[in-house]
Amino acid sequence: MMLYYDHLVVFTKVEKHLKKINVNDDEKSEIWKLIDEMVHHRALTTVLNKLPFEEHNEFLDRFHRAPHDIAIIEYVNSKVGSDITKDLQKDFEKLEKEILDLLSNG
Amino acid sequence: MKGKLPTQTYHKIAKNQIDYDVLRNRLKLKHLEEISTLYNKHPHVKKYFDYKKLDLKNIREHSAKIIGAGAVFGALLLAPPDNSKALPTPYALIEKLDNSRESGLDKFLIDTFKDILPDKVRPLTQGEEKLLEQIFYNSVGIKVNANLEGEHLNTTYGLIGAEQHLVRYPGDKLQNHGTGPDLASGMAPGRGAWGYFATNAAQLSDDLVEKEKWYAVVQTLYLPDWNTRQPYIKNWYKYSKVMIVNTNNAKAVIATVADSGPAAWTGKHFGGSPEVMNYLGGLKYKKGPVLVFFVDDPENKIPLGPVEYNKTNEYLTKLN
Repeated sequence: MMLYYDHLVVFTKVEKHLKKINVNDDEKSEIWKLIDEMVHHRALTTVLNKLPFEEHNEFLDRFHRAPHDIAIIEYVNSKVGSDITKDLQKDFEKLEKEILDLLSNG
Repeated sequence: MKGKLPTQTYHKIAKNQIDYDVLRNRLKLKHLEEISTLYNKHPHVKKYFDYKKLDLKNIREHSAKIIGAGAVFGALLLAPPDNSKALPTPYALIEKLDNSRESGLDKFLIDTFKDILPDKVRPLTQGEEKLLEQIFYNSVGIKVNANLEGEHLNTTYGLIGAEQHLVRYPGDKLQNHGTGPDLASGMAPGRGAWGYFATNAAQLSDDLVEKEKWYAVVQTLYLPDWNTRQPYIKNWYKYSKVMIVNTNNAKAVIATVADSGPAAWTGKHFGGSPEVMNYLGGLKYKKGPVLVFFVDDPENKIPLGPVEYNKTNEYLTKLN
């Protein structure tokens, strides 16, 4: 929606867990933003790990110019020769699990 | 005396507070770990963002500005989104609307949404929004705007998710919110983004009861100028009136904005109270595509709750 990978991020379990915690609006915003920023960094790491180094600048330019542009996925796919959405989904699932561990551990 | 004494419950309050602090610290550490992983492996990325004067933490704000600029200047400068459809002419729509008397207004709206809206939710172009405003005014009789008094949501076409009841005043309980299946959603442990609706039960007017019953959640926290236009923008959004339309069945409700959210990583863009969600899609409706437009109703004449299509003339009379 606002970012080309937003539709791939659905942390239902984290959402459910956080809904039980009594926090004020500022605290809630802070938690949400921390998780959101983790997603941004993880998404970039996933894509750049797959993308050939010589394509990094072109990708970053596209991302900077139009972070919402879903065509970025097609561009990356054409350069890596596979479907990057699968890698992103896999890494987002992994990240959700890591966050859930933090939420429920101890 | 009913319930537990404060001396029996303070442990629970303290536990919640500790939970939050611990949780925040854990998330902060994890957050730093994610940043280090990216920049240690790809140091040129940090240099790139520094050069562009963009912090990745502000990427949503950056994106919202670009989308906003695209919506304003789209018709003149930028190409339409790849998945946009050729919009029907107003003449064709009026003809269809005239012919819809037999098949029903809901069918007309469902068919029109199929013709106009992209297959997947996304921010709409200004042209698409203007057309929908005309359609709603001419068919439903309610004046709605994507842009009202200069305010515009980051998207008017997105996914709505089910929310819980909100605490209306200190000590409010779920049982006080009525009876029936709408109570099954439960009540959020914290207050909404605008705090309590009333200072105590006695101050809770019928109007405020309706506001909580028919409330909407919009992502004010991701608005590009949310942090720079306070407190004006927060006051503007408090209880602002919106029309939410389920694009799959054309059911519509008028609601007030009473909370901020949902988080971007939930895959949703709006939220609805149990009553809103029940009306839009039934008791099992938890998520689905909707249109959300501001209601231009400065004199507060349009009541909250379901939009009844057989009352089109009544709405028009109230507005004029």
